[in-house]
Amino acid sequence: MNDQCLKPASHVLTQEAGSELVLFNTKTDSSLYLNETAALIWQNLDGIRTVADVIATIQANYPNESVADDILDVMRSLQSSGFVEPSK
Amino acid sequence: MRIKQLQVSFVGEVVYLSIGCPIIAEKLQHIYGQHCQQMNLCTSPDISLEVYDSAGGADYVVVERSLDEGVFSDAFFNEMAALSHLRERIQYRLIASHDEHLMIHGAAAVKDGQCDIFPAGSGSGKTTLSAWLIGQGYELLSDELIAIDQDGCAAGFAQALHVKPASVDVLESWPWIKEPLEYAYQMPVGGKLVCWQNSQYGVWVPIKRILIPFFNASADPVAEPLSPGQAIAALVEALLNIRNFSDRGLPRVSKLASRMPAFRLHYGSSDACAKCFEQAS
Repeated sequence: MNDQCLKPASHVLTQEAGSELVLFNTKTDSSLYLNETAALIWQNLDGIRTVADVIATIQANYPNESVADDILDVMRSLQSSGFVEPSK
Repeated sequence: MRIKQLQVSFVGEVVYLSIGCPIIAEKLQHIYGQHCQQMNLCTSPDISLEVYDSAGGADYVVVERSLDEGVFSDAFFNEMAALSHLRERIQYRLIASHDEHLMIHGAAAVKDGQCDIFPAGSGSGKTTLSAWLIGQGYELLSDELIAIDQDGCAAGFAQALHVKPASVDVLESWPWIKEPLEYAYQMPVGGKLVCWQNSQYGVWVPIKRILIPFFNASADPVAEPLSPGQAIAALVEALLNIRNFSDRGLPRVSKLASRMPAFRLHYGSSDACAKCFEQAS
């Protein structure tokens, strides 16, 4: 997964609420709440940077703890529920 | 066959009915109260109920004109099963194409000129909570369906309370609901339909709080404050006419969530519920 580039799926709508996000998948009619950290991950999934790049970017905000596994979990969850898709 | 023509209406939507069973027609009027009016003539009903005598009793056939003008029908072998089906279809049709208001699956109750709304799915305890609120000086707007306008006001579809089988015993212990329970309709799959009068019919009431009921018998009573994002997610989950909005109603839901406090109520009894209400104030 680390070499993949993920991007928001075209059928997903987003609603900002301060630093949080709510996603809505119009294909499955399901919604997903993203807290501040998960929203930061989402905003970095631009289809250009790889998963490894995104992890490194966010990890830089948390110098005293390892968050790589948590970020990967969030990205796997976003992908399995159809909110993001590979860009290439 | 004596046919009664009825219309059931809610926030501008109308479902026209032709009911060929006087007993069911009377029950529908009782269940829907002021939302249900008798008409003199209805040339093209959305839903018709026809009754046919058969060897074993009567067959009840519900014929419905679908929204794309097709027709489909369902047969039932007892009156209450037909009534139960009619209730489902009436509610579906009130919501199916409505795009003026947010139609929320939830309860709402009024106190001091403002209302609390309780968005939640089936089986979350909305009806039991609604019945409890009546005893706490609240006036119930609905235990099932509310409409919310652009100004953050709610109106309730004030139909009979549908009390699930597991909740009947609890309600029977509350003196304020005992008498209506005695006259309730027994539903075919268990539970009761409890009719009640609502003086707030047709009134839009400003919303004070969003309270998400979360029944958990072993939970400590807590009113957990929700962030705006969490409140939006909870409202979206309960938005019944979400497909009728090209933007899925997200901006309107967001505006609503930003205007008022939201809490998730963790409670396992009516006493715990009272504590949650205090915490959420």
